[in-house]
Amino acid sequence: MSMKRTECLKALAKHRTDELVLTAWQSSYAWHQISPSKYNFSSVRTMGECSTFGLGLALARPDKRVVVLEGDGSLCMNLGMLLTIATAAPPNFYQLIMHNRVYETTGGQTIPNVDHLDFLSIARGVGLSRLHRYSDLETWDLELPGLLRESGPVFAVVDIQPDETHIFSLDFATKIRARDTFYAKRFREALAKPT
Amino acid sequence: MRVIDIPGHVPEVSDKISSEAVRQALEESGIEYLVTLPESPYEQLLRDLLQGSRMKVVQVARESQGMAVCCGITYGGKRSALLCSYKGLYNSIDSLLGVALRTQSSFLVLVSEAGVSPERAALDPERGRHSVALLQALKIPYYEVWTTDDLNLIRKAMAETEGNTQPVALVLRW
Repeated sequence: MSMKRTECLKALAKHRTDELVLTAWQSSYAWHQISPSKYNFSSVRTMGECSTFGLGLALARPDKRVVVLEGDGSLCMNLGMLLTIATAAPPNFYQLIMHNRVYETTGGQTIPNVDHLDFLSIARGVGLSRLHRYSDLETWDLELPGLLRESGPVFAVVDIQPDETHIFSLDFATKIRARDTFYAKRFREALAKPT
Repeated sequence: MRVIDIPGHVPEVSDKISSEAVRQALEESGIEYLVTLPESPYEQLLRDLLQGSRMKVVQVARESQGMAVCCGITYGGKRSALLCSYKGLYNSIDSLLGVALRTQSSFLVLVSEAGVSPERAALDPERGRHSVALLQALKIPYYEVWTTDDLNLIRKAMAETEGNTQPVALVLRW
């Protein structure tokens, strides 16, 4: 069982308060429309490094809760990040793995050995202890408020269905570049203001 | 991070650049976070830091992660430096371009170049001594540090990285 990405993100938006939300790749496109905020950030374009960017942010800003929506393919690109996160262990860090089992941006090719892939076991194996998995919308919606109040680092796998593929045409890439630059500037300015 | 004393281990040290002076220069530049994957030339520096420093050490499992961690720290309004080897620089290129430059982040990258001695460097000529050429190709500003006297460049590099909102490298010729 799995959720539609937009329904999943709408539930997250409903329960969001003042969290900083960092998104990577496919989740970025819908998130900015579903939950517009100066506290959205989507400018990391290196697979697997959105979470480590969020880790640095969480360490530097312990007064803010940092939520990262990372893709499963991106996590596979940089599995060692889990060791780094478990070692630093910021209590204000929430890593949500959007697990649709494919590389969506490039056309839906499956992740290597995906039928045997168990992210929770890997996370448990590196010492992360706040572990969750959500596969249906009702449970996700019900448990989100509690999840976002847990002391982190929190690691959650969110099972979603493969979505519409955004083909990376030149025109689309140009729009994304302009959008990312705008949002990054706004995000930085928002963080610089006293709260 | 803990450092375990290994019987028979002889630290690689150089009298050209003092670890204590590196620590002092970083602290005076306002660095709050040192992000690192341990590397032999930094051994004494890390031991000193863990003994007591106002700088916090963030240990990463791969240097490319360190680039992104430093970027996040930048956005959080704090100063940071990544300590890595020349090999760490090589494996961080995509993060340097796709995260650090793209997000216009300001931090220092201290690159330890090619071992302590020319003799040691000569044992790995395929991998060593390419840092400067690589930084030039990527258009990353850099300074070369040959002796303790050059460590005043850290403060200069800190001003430059914040003024130009892009990382600045210091290549340490231990």
